[in-house]
Amino acid sequence: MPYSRRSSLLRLLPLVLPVGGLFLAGAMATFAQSFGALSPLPGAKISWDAWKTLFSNNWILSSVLFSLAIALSSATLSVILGTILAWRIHQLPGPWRSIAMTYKIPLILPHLTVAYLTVLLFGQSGVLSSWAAKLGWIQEIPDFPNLLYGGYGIGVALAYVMKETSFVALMASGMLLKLDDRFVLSARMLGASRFAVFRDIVLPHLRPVLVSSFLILTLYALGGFEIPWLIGESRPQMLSITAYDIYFRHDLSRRPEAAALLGLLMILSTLLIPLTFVLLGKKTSHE
Amino acid sequence: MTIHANTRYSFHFLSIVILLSLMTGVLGATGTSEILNPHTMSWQEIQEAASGTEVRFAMWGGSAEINAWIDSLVAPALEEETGVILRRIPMDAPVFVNKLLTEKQAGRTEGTIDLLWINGENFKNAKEAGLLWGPYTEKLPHFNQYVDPSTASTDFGYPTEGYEAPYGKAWYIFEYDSAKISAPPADFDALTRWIKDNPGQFTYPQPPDFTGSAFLRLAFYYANGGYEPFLEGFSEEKAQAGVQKLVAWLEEIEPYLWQEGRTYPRDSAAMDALFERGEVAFNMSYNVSHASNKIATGQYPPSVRSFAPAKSALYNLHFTAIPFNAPNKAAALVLSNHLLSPAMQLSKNNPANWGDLTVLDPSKLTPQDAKLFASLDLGPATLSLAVLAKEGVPEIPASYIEYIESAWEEEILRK
Repeated sequence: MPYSRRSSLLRLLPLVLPVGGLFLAGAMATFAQSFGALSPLPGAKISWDAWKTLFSNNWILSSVLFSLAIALSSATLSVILGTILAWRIHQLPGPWRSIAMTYKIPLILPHLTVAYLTVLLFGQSGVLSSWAAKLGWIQEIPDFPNLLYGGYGIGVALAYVMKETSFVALMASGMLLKLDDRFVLSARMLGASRFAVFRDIVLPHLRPVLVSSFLILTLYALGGFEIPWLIGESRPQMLSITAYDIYFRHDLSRRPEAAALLGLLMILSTLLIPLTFVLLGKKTSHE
Repeated sequence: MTIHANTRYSFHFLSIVILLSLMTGVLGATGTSEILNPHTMSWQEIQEAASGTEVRFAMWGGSAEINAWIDSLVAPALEEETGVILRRIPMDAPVFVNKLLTEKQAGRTEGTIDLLWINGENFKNAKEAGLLWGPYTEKLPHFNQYVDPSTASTDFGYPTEGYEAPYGKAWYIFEYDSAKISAPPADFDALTRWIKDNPGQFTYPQPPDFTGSAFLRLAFYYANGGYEPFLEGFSEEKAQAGVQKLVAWLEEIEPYLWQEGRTYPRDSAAMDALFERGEVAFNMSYNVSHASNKIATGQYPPSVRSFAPAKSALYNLHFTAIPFNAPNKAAALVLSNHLLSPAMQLSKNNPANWGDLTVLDPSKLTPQDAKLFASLDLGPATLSLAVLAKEGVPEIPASYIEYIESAWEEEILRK
């Protein structure tokens, strides 16, 4: 029996109320604090000061740009690698495909573990560095590129790519199961190259799920805390760390600044959603 | 059809249950009141009220040794002697101050924490925002019997006024590996030269990390020829002039730091890891027995030693305090008193457990107890009290700390 619109709305309420209520209340409290309301300090006034500090401060601005750069680059790379991975696994013969399911392992690892693995693998005294030395590619440790502390946030981006590639592959695999193999077969019979099949049939089919995955990953990395906290550099610094430091590790009078920064993060994230859909398109041109 | 109707009813029932539980949650938070007033109770009555109850102790949880001392020595002794059950809550001081602030704003008169491990800036913040209950220290028999009240009357230059009871005394020390360096720098002049001669082998934890921030203060004393001008109260002018000299020194050494000063270890744990791996030559700690402890656990080679460059053995006291909304203040008093007993202070002073120095006045102890303290083996890498006392420098008022940390952020980090 199909449910009426009203009854399905009602059914959703137990979920919508607490989630929406808590989220909205949290967002409102953050904005209120950014204007100096709810201050624990006696004599605090309502003012724009925190927002002014935010936009007059090159440090915070560079932090915003850096976070965006890390979020966009890691999401892009994860989507590319994840798509290729999913397509290659999809093409494998049956028994191999079940072995290839090990690609899901990073999905169940906590971000904490992935951060640790990044240090273990990509550090100058890490596994890759020692392999490179054994193979004679580098002479000593400092010859290995300083990925983690080179000042470009490569370590953080790498950690996100390691973790999120399998997420994209998982999303894409599900979609590939729905791909009608006859499209691929007839294209091949009519002389399309493997690459043309991938570009003209597989990619358009995957497009909606890839765009949503890209968005999810970008937003996650933009505000994510654990990985930059564990392996991030002192500078440039991800937004979430800057906000945490100001909120928890400094004088109480600076709290509005941290709240304003989090408010800015919320606004940025919200703007990114329509922007992504406009630029990348939500619907597939294929169907 | 009936099935559908049933699910609908059960759905209504469910939403009512959820609504009710939300409402009682809100009401319950404001509905309780204080029955017991330890201010007017005798110690006997306080002990009786506390017996058989649970006390929740919020403390920094970043040290496995300290956690083990609390769980395996303090808690069993407390339960045996007073019947109070200790529950340790690992939480950084700024976090619980934050939590209490939120509870105060929300009007929650019954919190979840009974006793705090606190000092310095956090104590000042908490006291000024009215987050602490007291004064109470004169209630504690062990405080009255064994502590010289003048030693605990201020905390980073801020008057304690009986709102926190002393718990331990910390000294700041530097560490080096004697197998690699024969003579560590004798003062900050020598340290400066060493840093420049050995690029990439020195760094400090990124302020506002506790250990890194203390290092900045020592550098601040050095750059300004001593702590004395800053001891009494806070002066913005003095702070500004002093910070300029500090920044000049920090800029001078920065290109010679680990990773050329591009990045700093996030906190003291990250710093420990760098020192253990040999990436940096010196480590520092606000715990005198840090090196001996690390040797005992095998994390440091046995050749590591502590040292104190001239006029840089920073010291301070740490305390316990009771939150305004502690649900079990009687048990908090009992625990605070228990932590001041000669037995607990002695076991805390033992480097096998923690190695934190006692706050008790040796002249007030029984000769037997005093002998026990004197005969403690502090471990191979721990400096003697005589050396520490010779190079000892006190903490300056907490207002300077925030000022120095902000200056570091503005002038060094964001350059």
